[in-house]
Amino acid sequence: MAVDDLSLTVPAGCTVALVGESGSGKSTTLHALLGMTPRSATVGYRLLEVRDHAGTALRVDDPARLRGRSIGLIPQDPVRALDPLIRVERHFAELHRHLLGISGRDESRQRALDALEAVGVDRAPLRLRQYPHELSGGLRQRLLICLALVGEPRLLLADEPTSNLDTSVQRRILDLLDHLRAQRGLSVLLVTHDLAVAAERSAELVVMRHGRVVEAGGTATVLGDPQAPYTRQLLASAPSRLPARPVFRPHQPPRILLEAREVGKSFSGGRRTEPVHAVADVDLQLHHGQTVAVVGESGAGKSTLLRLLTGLERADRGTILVDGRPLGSGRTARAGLARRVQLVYQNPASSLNPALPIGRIIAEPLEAHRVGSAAARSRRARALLEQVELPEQFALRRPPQLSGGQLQRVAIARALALEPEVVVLDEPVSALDQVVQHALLRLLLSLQRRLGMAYLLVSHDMGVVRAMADEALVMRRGRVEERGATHDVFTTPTSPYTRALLDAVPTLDPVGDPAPQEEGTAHR
Amino acid sequence: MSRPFPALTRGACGGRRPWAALAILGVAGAAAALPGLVAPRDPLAEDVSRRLLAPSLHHPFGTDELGRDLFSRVIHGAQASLSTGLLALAFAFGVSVLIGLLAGYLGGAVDRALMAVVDVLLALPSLLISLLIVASLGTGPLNLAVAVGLASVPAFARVTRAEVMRVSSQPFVEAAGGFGLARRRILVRHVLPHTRGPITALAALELATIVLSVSALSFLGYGTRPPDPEWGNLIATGRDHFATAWWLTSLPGAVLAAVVVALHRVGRSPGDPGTSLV
Repeated sequence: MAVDDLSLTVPAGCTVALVGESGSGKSTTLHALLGMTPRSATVGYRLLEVRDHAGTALRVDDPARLRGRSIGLIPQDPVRALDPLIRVERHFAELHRHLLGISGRDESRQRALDALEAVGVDRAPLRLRQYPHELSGGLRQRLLICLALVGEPRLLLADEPTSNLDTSVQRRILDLLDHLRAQRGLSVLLVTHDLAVAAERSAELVVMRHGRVVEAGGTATVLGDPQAPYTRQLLASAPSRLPARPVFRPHQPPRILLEAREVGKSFSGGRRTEPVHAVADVDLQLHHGQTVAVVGESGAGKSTLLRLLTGLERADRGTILVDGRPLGSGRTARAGLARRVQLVYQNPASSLNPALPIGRIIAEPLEAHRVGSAAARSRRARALLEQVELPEQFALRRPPQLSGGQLQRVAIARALALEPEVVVLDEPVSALDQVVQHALLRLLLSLQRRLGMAYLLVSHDMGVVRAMADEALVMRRGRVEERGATHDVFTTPTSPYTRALLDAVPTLDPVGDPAPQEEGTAHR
Repeated sequence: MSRPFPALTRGACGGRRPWAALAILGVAGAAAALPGLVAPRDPLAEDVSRRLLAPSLHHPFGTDELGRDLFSRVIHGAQASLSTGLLALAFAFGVSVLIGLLAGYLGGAVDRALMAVVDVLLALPSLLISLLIVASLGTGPLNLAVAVGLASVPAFARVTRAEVMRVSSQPFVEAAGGFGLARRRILVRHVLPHTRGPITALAALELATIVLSVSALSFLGYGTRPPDPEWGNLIATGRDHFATAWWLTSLPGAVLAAVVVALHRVGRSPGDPGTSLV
């Protein structure tokens, strides 16, 4: 049972946030409200009511009839929610015809232009001619909000509307939603896994787990004085609640393990277009036992820098030194690099071969370098499992039987197998739920204390960076915008870009907007 | 949304295992493996007194112009048709998986060169390729298998290449290179196992085409020669008596058609859910 015995009330002109881990039934709830559940699902309501402008309750028998007209949906993934073969204008035209009965091209176009301008889209006439893939993530999300508003619904369901966006874009989109809500008297049901977003944007909060409501009430009340143990755990695991990394300034810095000198990499887009400088003149030094974080928005060149440093791509310019020696090419150099520098990928589900048992996966680097006998390797795999706090019996399971957090632990164990001096972490926790993130970050910190390797961390989450890194490197358009000790970068940023990045991070201090009125009630 | 022809589309869209098709193939396989046990009579024993008898309980498929039992001849013919077919499939499979693997994983010039060869094969009608080879190399089970198998190489190689490319782009393949695993081991352990599903499905479909081609070559006189029975040449020799003895062409033809359709049905049914990737 995905959702069980759920009651939800969204007051008029108010934002209610639905918070919970993945699989807790948040999306199922939204889909049930719109009658969009798969055929295999059975949905039962005791009461589903929508109140009209006058406040009279109207009982709803077929939730599908609410779609578009009474309730608008902002779907989760802005990339997949738009048909890639249809221009923006036709996305509007279809809805205009279906919801408003407008078939005239000029009228439809005029309405679309007005709507786009109302949500702050620049060059609206151009946008109408474009295809969805030509728009940025933020623009796509604005477009989806526009489309959800075509039928002039009174309630907007926003399904993780910003979870695929950068923090600064996220802030602008959430501001827009707030603005629209105030301006048009909308109600918003905001589904999010980010407690801080909920704290900043909602008046009321519903915490879900395993398909049930764990706790519900005013956001300030719930977060200020959480009753349910799960809410407390969720609050305690917020990245901003992790202790900041203690300042570490030794008299003599430890030796440099990994160094980049004026490294650059460009990609040519085609014959006519200018080459894109993904990474330009980046200097970086990673000392023994230290953590350096690379921060920036998507497209800032973080991933490319990381691929250069791990030898997965070759730099066009500059040199990369491992332990003082330039990074060579060829198989022996690659094998040597693998023993010193190991990479943990963002998504553990795709970076581990689903067909192999966990024990084999962890032992594979040892096998590749012919370390020890088969029996010794399997013993080592079990020891590594223990190090990442997983039971030994997991050695016989296969990846599909493990959860995301467990898989990332396996990926870390595999990275540690060759006892590297540097572990490169590419957004190691961003694909995981908050509580799991917290546990994993603590594990990474304790492993570093015990084993003494250096981390090179790529992250877009400022809270993670603050807790993990000694030094932060802020990247923007392939260049280093600012660098320094993490504490200094966070407290006294010199670049306005860094300041904007820090300001955009939602915080857990709740701001409620009072005086909610009853708007729609759903009992199930 | 309901599907218009549930009975026809069931196999392609998941659902039950194709039991009827598997039963047909089981019987055909048993006949090909142990024809002496299954067949009621000697397929070569002539009895002029019993020429051109219509199907009866005694002779389920009737008899031919020399009084031989057609049912026994069809069963013995299964051996020639199916064993040559399987040999051809093995040849096509081996060659094209190698081509697809090299092209898909190495890419670049190797890919372009191999695919150019494959495209030339693809451009020629497959029966023409087979005929060319049999005409120049001579008949015989092995030549026949190579001739027919070669015609199946393009499709196999293309699919394998596409699958290898898809799997190679998965992060776990890059990760394997990242901790220093040799390329050959990456291919064998991380890439090849995940290409299995679509390739085996294609193998069943290709086997149907191959069985048909083997029979077509025999029909044209390039395969098994009479008096040895083979489905294609049974159909061919039966044509002379089509007006008086319909069973001589129709019944071996029906058996051939049933096997080909059954192979198609099995090829279209979903594979083991456990073997698919992620």
